[in-house]
Amino acid sequence: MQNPSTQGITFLIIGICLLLLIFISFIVTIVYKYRQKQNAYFKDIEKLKISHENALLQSQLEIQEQTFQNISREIHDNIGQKLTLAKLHLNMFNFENLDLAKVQLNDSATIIGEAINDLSDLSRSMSSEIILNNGIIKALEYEENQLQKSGLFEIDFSVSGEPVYLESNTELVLFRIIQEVLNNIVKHASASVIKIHMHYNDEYLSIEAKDNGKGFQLTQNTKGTGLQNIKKRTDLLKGKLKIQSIPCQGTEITLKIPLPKNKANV
Amino acid sequence: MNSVNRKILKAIFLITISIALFLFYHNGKSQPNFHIAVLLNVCKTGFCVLYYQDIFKNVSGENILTEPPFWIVSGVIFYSSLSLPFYGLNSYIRNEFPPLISNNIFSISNIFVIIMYIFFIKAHLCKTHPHKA
Repeated sequence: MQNPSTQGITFLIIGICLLLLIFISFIVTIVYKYRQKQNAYFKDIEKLKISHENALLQSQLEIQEQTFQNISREIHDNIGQKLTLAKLHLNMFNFENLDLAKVQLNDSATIIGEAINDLSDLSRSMSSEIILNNGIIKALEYEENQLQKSGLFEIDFSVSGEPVYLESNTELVLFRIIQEVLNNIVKHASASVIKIHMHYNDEYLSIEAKDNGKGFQLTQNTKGTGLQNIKKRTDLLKGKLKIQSIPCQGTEITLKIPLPKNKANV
Repeated sequence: MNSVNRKILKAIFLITISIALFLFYHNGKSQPNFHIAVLLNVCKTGFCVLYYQDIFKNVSGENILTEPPFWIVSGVIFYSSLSLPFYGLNSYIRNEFPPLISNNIFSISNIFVIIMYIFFIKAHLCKTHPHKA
């Protein structure tokens, strides 16, 4: 028979061991459950990444499709017409009247020259090379020059803040959004002044595109394919899109795209 | 952490501070009040449980075993929860256990303090030598 002192000590040791065991099991369970939750979290992130990549791919395919349509339309409506006209001139070439022949030849050469220029402009505007090599600002400056050259618009493009490098895919999608906005202005707005302002903040890049065109009722036209494309692409970049339009006063489109945390200045 | 948890946290914090001030004021004036020590340890355990609840709500990619707060909170919960029975059963131990044990019972609690400080050292090592943690 144990004496009370030994019994007490045994009881105490067993109690302490039990408490220690419970504590160790508690900590092990916490770590184990946390790891399980962490694994689920990593899987979720992976899924999100994959779905984002899929959406990006989808958008790139749409952009490609749209580019092909633009090329086809441009070739049919503009370059094709010019070359047909040049062919017409050459068909009517009169060897007997040399003065007239000279004029026809000159006209044909001018028209073919214009067609070549149009082709080269088209190739540059559709190619993503300018964005990949020179960045979005240079690409937009090029777009500005192209619009200025048309003589139909007074265009003002400005940049403020410290520009930063973005992923080439992000820049490409962003450029296509702005191209879509400009296309909409050129085609539908009947504007004479276009203002584009880019502002780089610590957290985001904001782009404002304003025109003094005829504007539209937001409720009626927000379902247009062009605007839907802009919205879809902005969502893809996890950005925010704000459209303000007043009939007869113009339209203002504001895009806010979050910038990466580890960014490098241009 | 949501607003309810914040309120609970504030309440536990205020109770803990009040008890700590009370103990500080009464230190040496009378016999130690073990009921208050029990309450204090329960409050500390409550704080720690809230921390665990919070890390489960906001899971991040970080390895929890390299996080200093995890080791600090584990050390505190270790000490407060394991010394809780000694404070709570103090009168029972004094009556039922032989004097050899009842007079030295808080030496065991001191061992828990040492282990708690080992947890703190581990937390410090996580910060100074993250690759070894």
